Amino acid sequence: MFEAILLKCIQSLRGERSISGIFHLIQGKRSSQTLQDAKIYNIDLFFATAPSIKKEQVEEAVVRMAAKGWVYINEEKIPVIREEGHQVLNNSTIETRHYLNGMTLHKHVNVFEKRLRLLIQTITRTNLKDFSFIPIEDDIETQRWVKYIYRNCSAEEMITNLHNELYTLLLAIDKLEAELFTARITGGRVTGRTKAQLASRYDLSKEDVDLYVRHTFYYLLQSTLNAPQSYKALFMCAEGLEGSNLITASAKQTHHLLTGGYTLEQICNRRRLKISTIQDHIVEAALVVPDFDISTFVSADHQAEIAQALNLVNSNKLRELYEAMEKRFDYFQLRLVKARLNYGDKEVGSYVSRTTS
Amino acid sequence: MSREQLHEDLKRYFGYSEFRQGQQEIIEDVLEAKDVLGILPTGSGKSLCFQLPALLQSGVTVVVSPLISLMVDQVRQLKVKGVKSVTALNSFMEVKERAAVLNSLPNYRLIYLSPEILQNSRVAAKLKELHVNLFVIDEAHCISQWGHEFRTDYLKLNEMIKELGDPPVLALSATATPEVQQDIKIQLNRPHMVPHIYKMDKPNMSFEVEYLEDPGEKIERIKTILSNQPAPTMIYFSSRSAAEKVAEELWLTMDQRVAFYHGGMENIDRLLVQQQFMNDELDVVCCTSAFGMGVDKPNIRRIIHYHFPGQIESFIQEIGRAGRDGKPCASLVLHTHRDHYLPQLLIEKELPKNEDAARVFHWFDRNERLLSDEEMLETLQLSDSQWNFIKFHLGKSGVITRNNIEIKENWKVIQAELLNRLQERWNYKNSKYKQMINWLFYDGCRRKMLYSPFQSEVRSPQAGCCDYCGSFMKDLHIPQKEVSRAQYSSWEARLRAIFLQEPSDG
Ligand SMILES: Nc1ncnc2c1ncn2[C@@H]1O[C@H](COP(=O)(O)OP(=O)(O)OP(=O)(O)O)[C@@H](O)[C@H]1O
Ligand SMILES: [Mg+2]
Ligand SMILES: [Zn+2]
Repeated sequence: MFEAILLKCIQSLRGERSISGIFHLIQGKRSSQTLQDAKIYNIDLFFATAPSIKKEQVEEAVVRMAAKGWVYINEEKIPVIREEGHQVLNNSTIETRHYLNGMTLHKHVNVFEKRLRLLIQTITRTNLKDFSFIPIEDDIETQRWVKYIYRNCSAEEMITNLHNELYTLLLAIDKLEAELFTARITGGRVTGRTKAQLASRYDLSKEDVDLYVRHTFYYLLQSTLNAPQSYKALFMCAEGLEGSNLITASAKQTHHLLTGGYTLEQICNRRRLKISTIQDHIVEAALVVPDFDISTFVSADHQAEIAQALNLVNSNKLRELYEAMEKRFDYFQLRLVKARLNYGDKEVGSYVSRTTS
Repeated sequence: MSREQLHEDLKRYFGYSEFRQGQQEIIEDVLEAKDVLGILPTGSGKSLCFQLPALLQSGVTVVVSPLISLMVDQVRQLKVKGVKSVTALNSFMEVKERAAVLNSLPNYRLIYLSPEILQNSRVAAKLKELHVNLFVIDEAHCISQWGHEFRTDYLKLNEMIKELGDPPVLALSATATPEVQQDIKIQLNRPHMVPHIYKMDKPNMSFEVEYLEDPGEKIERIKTILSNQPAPTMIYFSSRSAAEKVAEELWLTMDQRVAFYHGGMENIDRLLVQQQFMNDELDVVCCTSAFGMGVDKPNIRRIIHYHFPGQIESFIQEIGRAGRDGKPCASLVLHTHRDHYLPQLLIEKELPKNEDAARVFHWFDRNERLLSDEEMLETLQLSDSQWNFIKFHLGKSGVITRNNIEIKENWKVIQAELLNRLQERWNYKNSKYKQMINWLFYDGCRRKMLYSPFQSEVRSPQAGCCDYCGSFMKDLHIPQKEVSRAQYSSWEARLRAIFLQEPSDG
């Protein structure tokens, strides 16, 4: 997965950004350069997906991929993808189906992950009458949150519910990811495995172990937010993260203006932003705001039509959909409908490679 | 206070029915406000000697402890026992958190501190407002230059004690030779401390040393030993990469649960390894000395040294992790001719060389004030401990006070003096190192020899004695079924175990 993400970045950056640029992106550096790159090159889904990565790890991986013939390093020391690389990428989940959505969700996933880890440990250890366990998360905020939940909810009930919800959700994903995820969790009499242990056990790189597990947390969070009623216990861990909180501050502002009756053009003028940026914001909102209405952009009839075509095309590539619909709708409209469809869909929680071209 | 009362309190606060050797004697003296020097073996329960008095006395007990994880662990365990009025202050705390603790300091009975944070003037000021009636120095050998782990900040403790109104002092250590014990008293300015010195040998431990021609043989020897029977085992290394490499090799080739642990790992993974080990979910931990002090697991049966440390005292600390439940355990040191240079290289990194000192004086000539410690390291190309050494000695001779360079004449004399100190330290470290080597090559009872710098006699061993006397690690009797080896057939099963959805196994 790590290499596929790097390939994806290398491909999307088209030889225009150095390894440092890629490193900053996946590591999640909050500089305007990095944030812009992520948007412009359409790789914002991968922003901050490997927060603990070191630059050397990226460099070494690029060298490895060059040795395998997937990429080459040009005169400016910038990695460029080769045909073999394209093929590897096309066959990877990064192109087919994944739930990473870093730019929008990385902070929330982070909070969600910490809460879930500590909550599981707390409710199961205390159930065993062990009150002296070493908390798996030393983050004070998280500890406060768990204490609060622990005091106000029935632990017994939470244990059963969390187990059942996780079981259901993990059943629907790759077995490897379900295994890695459960192996990393601490609870009951079971202590989570370290990254190094899992890397040995499954013959993966440490980077991959990290990414697979994080990916599962993305999946869990989005599935939960899309169907809070079905995943009540998990939804608690997403408390305070839901709804418009999920989108970036900038998107929030756009959404605010939109509900205030402003048109797309008016918002562009007012905010002095490019129309494509505003469109991004609207797609973000469509994905996460429960009662978001997109019919001002695509009529209900057209929504139905696009949804139908989407089923037929059976591809996540927008361009194919675009062609299939004889270019009658623009990419923005297609993305909106897709986003809306994904909202409330239990299984597909994220919009994937929205403009792969 | 009567003996019965003390027993009752022990039971009430800690749930123990008996005092262990030395505890009651030390506690009685502490309660009579005497200054006490307590030397007790590793794992014998030194912490109790100040924890119980802290709960029985009015006022505050201050404990200086060199390791943050050690403090945090003890605080956590006390809280579990229902002792809420305990806290730890260290320099790694978040600012907000530290401020909160500082402001409620009078509410605590027992306060753990790192020696570094005692240098913080705000902390010191707050402490002075309290009524401190016991000042504890854990791992007190750190006070002595002749202790195996000299920490310059420990030397400033005696000033602090004075400023706190000269409360009674309790100094504790498991690895202090008679000369170090003497030095502790001198440095603390308490020549009349009541000594409670107990034999520090471990009657439940046997010793074995094996010299190998080829470094490659080490791993084979380890495999043979481990394949005998799984049991909680620690393997010590002097380098992180070696620990990782051997862990991987053992994991791949043996049917045992192996992990590595060192200071370069992410926090959460360090915690997980420690917890897995404590929970008996691991058989073997390959570690550096970063995993050691503070590990209080009762049933560690084997300590193997893949690399041996630079001195006997460190060795005793490291083997002190085993057999804390009092049952038989064994130590094995594997060495080859190559290892004999390793500790010396480490000493070199630790101490400044003559040319380093010359560089420092040259810089002093052209500057008035010191920079921050980090900048000094950077500018002068010194390691942490090298710079600490120089700073400490120049501070002592008055060349620097706070961050000012005070003296600029008489360089020659001062320089010569520093070089003398340096030479002394080198000689000392080397003699310690030789002592270690001599023990490895000793042809006689290893138990007697190991403890001879500390005491004239050893107690008779409960299980095996040593290879010279005919005991080997492979003969160690390990009670069966001590380790549960839960394995999960699928992620579903593991998930059920995490969430206690299995029918309970009793
Ligand atoms: N009287 C007692 N009865 C039973 N267990 C005890 C008693 N006193 C202490 N213990 C237990 O012994 C273990 C070791 O205690 P402690 O950590 O204080 O040892 P120590 O002497 O400080 O060791 P080290 O030199 O390694 O720091 C602890 O788990 C503690 O709970
Ligand atoms: Mg101790
Ligand atoms: Zn012997």
